Amino acid sequence: MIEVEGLRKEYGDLVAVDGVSFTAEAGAIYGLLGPNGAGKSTTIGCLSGLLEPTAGSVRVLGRDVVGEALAARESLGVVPQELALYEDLSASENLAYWGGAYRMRGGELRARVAQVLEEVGLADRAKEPVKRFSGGMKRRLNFACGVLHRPQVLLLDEPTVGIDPQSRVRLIELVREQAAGGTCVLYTTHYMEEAESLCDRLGIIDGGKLIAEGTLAELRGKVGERDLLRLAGVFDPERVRAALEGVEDLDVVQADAELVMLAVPGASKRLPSLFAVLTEAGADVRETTMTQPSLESLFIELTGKELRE
Amino acid sequence: MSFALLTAKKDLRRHMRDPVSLLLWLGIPLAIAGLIRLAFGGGGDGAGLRAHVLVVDLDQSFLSQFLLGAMGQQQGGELPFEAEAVDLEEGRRRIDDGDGSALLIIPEGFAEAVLEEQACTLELVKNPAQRILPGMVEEALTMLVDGVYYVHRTFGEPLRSILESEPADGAFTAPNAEVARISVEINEAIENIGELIFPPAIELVVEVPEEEDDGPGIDFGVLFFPSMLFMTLFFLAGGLTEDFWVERTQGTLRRALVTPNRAAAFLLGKLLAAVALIALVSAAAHVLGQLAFGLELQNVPLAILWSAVAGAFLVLVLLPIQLIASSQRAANLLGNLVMMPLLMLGGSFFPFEAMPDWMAAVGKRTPNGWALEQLKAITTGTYDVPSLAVAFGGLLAVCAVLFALCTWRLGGAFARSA
Repeated sequence: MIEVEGLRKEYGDLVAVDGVSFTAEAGAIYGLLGPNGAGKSTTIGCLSGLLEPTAGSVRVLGRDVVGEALAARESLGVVPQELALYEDLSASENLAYWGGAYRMRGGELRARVAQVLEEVGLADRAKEPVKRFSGGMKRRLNFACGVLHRPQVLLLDEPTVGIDPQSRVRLIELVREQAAGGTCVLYTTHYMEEAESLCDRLGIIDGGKLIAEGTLAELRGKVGERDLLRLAGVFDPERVRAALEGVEDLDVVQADAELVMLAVPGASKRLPSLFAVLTEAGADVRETTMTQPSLESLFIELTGKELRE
Repeated sequence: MSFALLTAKKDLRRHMRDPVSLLLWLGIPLAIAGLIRLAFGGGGDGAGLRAHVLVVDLDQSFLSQFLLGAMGQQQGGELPFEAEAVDLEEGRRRIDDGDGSALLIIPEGFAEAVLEEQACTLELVKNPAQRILPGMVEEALTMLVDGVYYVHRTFGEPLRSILESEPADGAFTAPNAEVARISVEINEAIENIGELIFPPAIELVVEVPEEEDDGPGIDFGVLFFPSMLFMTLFFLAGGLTEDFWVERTQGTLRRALVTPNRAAAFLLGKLLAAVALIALVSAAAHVLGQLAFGLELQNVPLAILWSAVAGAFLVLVLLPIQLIASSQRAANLLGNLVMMPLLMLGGSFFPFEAMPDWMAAVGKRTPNGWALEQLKAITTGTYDVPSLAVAFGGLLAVCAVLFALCTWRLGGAFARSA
């Protein structure tokens, strides 16, 4: 359904997306996971045809989004990160306008607007101007505008940013329903737990590059059985690195003046010996956190930084 | 319905939901027409502000009647009065109720006191709810009282004779001999003061050269009306182009551009809505202009059409600035930098007729100045059809070029750089 091959997008000297390739299938949710500025929205922009790739190709249902832009867009639904709504218009007027943009007309449009409003729980507020809606209600309407025309491919760019837990749960349910109905869903997020619970397949993106890709199980396998040990305190990074160099089966993920992160199997049992080595290196450890193998530990291992940085 | 019409409908609906902006847009020509009417007198019936003065004449004498008569005169609109004789009780009640600008009470013995050169007090009760009109009454009455005093100083003796000959029933009848004597005295008095109050007249010759233009005479208000309308259209066009930044900021522009429609359709829809609004404002202005200045009705539809096309042109002139600027603030700054000189030079702030020749020549060559001249010709009925047809064609051609430029920018860097 979505085929991305060697996608590259440059803005002058800045490379926003660098050689990204992946495939997303119908009836499944593909998650693009990465911190802010990783290149997720740029990738969505290229997929939707809003941005022209510098290199590479993007095909939606076999149609090139650049060469056959209008045809490709017919089957696309886009839920942008921002609330792309007309605040002066009512919920049903917003939906009617965006439905009309996909050539829906008359009774079909009215019936579908009513149905979608019911699905997102806004049927009783259909005639109210959007400016009176809460953030969560606007998010649900924003989603409704993207799925109104029953797209075969749905692009969702961080649709749950800044909403209340109740609306988030409802939105995630709606996304699952779309996939269950056979839609190919591309979902970008920087929420690890959302990606883990929702996506069938994941791509981890950072600095414009897809650094890991696969099902959740495949990605967890890449982390192995190593725990992530996060030590906060006062360190001499060079002495710490030198001291830990000889320690068996241990990787230094990060070492700076205030934080050291280590990937190590059976971390709880090895803590005393590791503290001894660090004390020898002049470290003053004040706080210790241990994370069991997860997507987050994989991300940290791969990028050397936490997802929410 | 095409996406362009759908977008136009959506925009019109949005504008209608923003009544403050709409009222401001409609209010601008209203306010401007009102200001012009006030400034130039308009084409009305000449009835200006007039104070309603209630007068209680407790004296019922020749002089009090003279004062009342003077207040009642409207010659040349010198005295802004409308006097109504009432009795004391009614007068006090009505002024307490706010009915009238002022209440003037002429006391009993007024004439006698004046003729005997004794102190006399006229009582003027002003309506506290009004500010301007009672003040005008006070000023005008002061002048009238001075007038009465000088009449007495000049014609005191004859007047005293008249007063003394007044019968009890108030009828001013006197024997012919007495009338002749009084007349002779008045005549002598006038001859004596003639040299003082009627100095040798200095003849003032005012020459107004006739214009060579053999067209119909044009009221200055009619001449200035298109300038003001164009200023309104310029500001309106500026406001409407800012809506593209609103669309961009709220993300609806990008959402529109990922639908299976061309950027040109979206732009066309917004332009159609803008033209409809401009035509509406122009129509409102022309109706007011017709009422205020008596614009020729037969020229109004064409003038509205020209205003709408010229409005679209102004939108398309200002839109590239919005689409090129790096931020909305920069866009507004740049827009003002372009708009203000064009407004000043293009005859909107000051009519070309009030400009130095060189400035008017430059101004008429600015895009808005040129369009304004066409509108003036239409409004005054001095256009010729072939020239106007060429002007319409030229304007539409320029609009098409600007539209293409704006589409390229709108669907490209403007939307993508957000």
